[in-house]
Amino acid sequence: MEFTSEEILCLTNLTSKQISLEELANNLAMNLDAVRRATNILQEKGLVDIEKKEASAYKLSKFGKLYLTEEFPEELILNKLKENISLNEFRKVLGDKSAFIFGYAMKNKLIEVVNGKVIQTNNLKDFGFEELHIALKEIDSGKELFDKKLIDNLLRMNLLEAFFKSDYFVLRNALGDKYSSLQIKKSVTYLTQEMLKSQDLTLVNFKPYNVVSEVESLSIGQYQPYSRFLNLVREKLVGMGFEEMPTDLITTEFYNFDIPFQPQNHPARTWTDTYSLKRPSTGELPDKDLVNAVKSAHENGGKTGSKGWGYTWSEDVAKKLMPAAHGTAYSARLLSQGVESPKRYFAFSRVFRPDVLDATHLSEFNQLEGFVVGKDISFKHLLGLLDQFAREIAGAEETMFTPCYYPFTEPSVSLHAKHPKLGWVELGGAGIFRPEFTETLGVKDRVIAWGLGVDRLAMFNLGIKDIRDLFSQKLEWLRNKSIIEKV
Amino acid sequence: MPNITFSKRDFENLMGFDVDDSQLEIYFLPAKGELDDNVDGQITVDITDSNRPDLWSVEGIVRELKAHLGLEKGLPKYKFSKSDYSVDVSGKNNLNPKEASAIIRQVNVTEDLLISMINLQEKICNTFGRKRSEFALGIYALNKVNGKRLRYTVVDKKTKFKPLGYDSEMTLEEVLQVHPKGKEFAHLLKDMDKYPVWIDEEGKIMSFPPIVNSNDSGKVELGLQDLFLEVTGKNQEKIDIVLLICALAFVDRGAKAESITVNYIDEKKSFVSLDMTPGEIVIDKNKIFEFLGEPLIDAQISEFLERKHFNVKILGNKVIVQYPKYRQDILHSVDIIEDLIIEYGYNVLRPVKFSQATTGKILPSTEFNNLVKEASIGLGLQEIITFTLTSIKKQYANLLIKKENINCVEIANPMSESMQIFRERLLPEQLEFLAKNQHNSYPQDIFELGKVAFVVKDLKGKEIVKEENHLIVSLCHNEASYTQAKQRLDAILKAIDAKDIHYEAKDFVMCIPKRSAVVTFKLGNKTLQGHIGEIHPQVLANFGLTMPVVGFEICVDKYN
Repeated sequence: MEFTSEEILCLTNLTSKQISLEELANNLAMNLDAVRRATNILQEKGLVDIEKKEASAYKLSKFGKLYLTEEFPEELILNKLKENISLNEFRKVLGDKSAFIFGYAMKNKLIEVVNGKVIQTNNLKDFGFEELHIALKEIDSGKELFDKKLIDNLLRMNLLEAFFKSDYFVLRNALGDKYSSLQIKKSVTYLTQEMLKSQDLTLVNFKPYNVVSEVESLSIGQYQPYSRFLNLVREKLVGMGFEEMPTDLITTEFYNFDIPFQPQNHPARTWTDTYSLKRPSTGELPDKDLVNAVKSAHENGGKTGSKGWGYTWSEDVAKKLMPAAHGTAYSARLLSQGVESPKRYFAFSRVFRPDVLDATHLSEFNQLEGFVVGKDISFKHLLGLLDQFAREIAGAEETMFTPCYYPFTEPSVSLHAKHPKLGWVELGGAGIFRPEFTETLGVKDRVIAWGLGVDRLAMFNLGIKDIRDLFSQKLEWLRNKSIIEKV
Repeated sequence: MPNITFSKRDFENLMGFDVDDSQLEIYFLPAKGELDDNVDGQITVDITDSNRPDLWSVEGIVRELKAHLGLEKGLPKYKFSKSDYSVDVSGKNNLNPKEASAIIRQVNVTEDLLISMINLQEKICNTFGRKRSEFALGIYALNKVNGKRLRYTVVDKKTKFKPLGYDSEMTLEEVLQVHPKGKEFAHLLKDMDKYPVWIDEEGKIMSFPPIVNSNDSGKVELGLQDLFLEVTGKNQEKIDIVLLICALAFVDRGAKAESITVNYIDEKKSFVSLDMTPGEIVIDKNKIFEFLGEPLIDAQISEFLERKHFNVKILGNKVIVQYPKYRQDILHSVDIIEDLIIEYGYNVLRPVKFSQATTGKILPSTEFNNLVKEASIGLGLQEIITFTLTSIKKQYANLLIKKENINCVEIANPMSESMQIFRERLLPEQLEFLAKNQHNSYPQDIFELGKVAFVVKDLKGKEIVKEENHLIVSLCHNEASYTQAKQRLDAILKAIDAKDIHYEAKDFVMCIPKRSAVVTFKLGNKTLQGHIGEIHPQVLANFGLTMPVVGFEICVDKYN
């Protein structure tokens, strides 16, 4: 059974002896209404018996109230006046009350007037002034008088009025006795350190809350959704045996274009297709041997068995600094520094294209690229890798490969995957780096190069229609985006 | 990638049979073409190969597909007779000293042909010809060309002729100033003393390459006629191929091409145009198998290659491949191998998994950056990502930084002022973000970990680019205080095991005076720096921000 602290207070203070609710409230220093509510509930629980009783009661009459503070006329006369005084003197002593006192005394034959003198009669005597005053005061303060004679006396003197009042009387019954040792719990709103340190918390009653009401919203600290997505893809790639390679924002045309065997007059190398830097405008080229090997590859194929592009390659063009246009620049850099075999690499690189920003174009975006170097790597391995990407990273169940073109790979292939909602979607491209690229760097084994449209994958995953939202400036969206669990 | 548009009817006429719409989606794949559109009988195909101008016309696509379908085998069998026309080339010209030309007879000029030729000319000259800087193409009504001894030479800039679309004569100089094509391509001729022209036997100027034809001979009308076709440019090999590709497009429509003898007077060299001598390349059979990942029998090798218009001879381990002259993209045996695999079928090959295992790992710097982010998120901060390209105004003027202290890496060809430089610090990007989000509830506590770039001088005093990874934290709300920022900076530095942390009071223009500091600390063996402070009200005002911001920006390059 559950008890409120009020119920417990009432129950533990009651005995098998009947007392009025008023008295119980007095004893407990509680509000009468609260006691009434508590005892009613206790009665419903069958622990107390309540009986309604009616009793006679008295309260002060108009006169009773008057003589609380004032002397009775007899008292006044006896105390204030000498015997046989003149009428004039009577008036003088009693002041404005003199007329009333005189009338009253004459009517009750307390005085006589003889020859202009006021004479006290035998009727005038102390009929217990002191006792009466005390009784009046007690009644006024709410005390009940039990002296029947005194009550009759007061009633006769019109000092009291009788009235009937009903009251409820309560006692603890035998069932209630079983709960007589309940202890009251204190009602609190907040649990505090002090309470935990000092109090028996079994005696604490926590105020109930409205636990379903709206509360002010709060935001968690969290990853930007796109950044979280990229990390998940990163984890997948590591799981597939890929090692991350370093990238920068800015590189030279040498790494971006020349090593990947894109001729210096290629349209992709003009200002409409790629950014270049004004300050600083040129960087450094690596060692002479490498630079010369790249030069020969472009001019006549070098030692690679290629015809080359048949033009005069310029070091000045290769030196030019540029915001990276594709992640292949970093594959080229790493390959030029020498890599072991077998190895698999990937990088997310920030790349730049002079495009006007709109819902489908960014001037700056992330590319996921990488390469796999190993002995006996064939085109079939490349297809196997792409198939794995489509399944593991894009969740595709069906894939298709189509021929395509990249300046730095041959053969080249484009990966399409069947998206459950969007149908066939191009996911990325791949190929085997041209020998003019890898053999020029002294890499003997074939190198598979691959790139995935990670921005597009992220848009699918995050439900984004406008590519600019990958770099969202909308705090509300960032705060309200639920945390994605998988790519 | 070039976009080729043609009518389905024209395509089917050239193929010789109808193709069902449902097949079109994958029909062009063997020619590296992706169907872009098929509306109202007009087909648009994206040719993904930007190095195969022979495929940039409906005729070229049809030629490729016919071989793929086995309708033609091996080298295309084109025969050209020799015309009695000749061209004398002379004069000092460093823009387009070489020419290649041919006569095309019995051309039935239809609208389809005109559309195809205009498109091909545009694609080839823009992409392959680098916007006419490498070569330009001219087509003439042969009956307007007088005589058979033509000259390609340079003449005085004051020489007059009527450019296409104009009834009156003007000087070549004027053409560059007045004619739309003249204005568009004048920059190509800016270093020349004399300008190149084609002149017929009567001395009449036929054209002013690479700008415009004359109004008389340059107009090609509908109907049966003979044409004169020429390409002028820098590189003979290249213009020979362009001429060939264009001539073949006519021939594929039933016309006959005739070669022309060219005499380079100054070099005392002569040869005949429209050379179709095939290229030859010898490939080791094993190399094909290694690339493919499985062996093939000789018959397969031959079949696949013949379906790409190659002639094949297999001698033991050697595969001798002859490829059409116009396949200028073939530089190496890998180019042949790709074509073989395309004909084998990318989707016929069975993908296989790598046999050797490798261990994956992320860069130490990525791992560390993730820890820094984790620490920031643990403090309840929201990550944001912004662009690295930004504006000078945002990065410097708004922060009250003086012009002489600008060390930004600057783009030479920016698309707009808002993406003109690389950010030197993350702070302005955060303030801009906060300014855009003033309608959202506060506190707005955000962070970004990203790259910045700026210019420093190397030991030799040369300006070089330096890139750093920065962490920025911004606390934006009505009670934002320096103490809160410092508490968080202390907490993060402790979390990432920074040592020798030292704060020193220092005023920065973008911060409230006496409420900012420099912090130095060590991560591993790197000594790094950062700034912390309360943002100056004027700076907030410059961003239109009416809420206080405090924060810090530190370099976190433990490894880089």
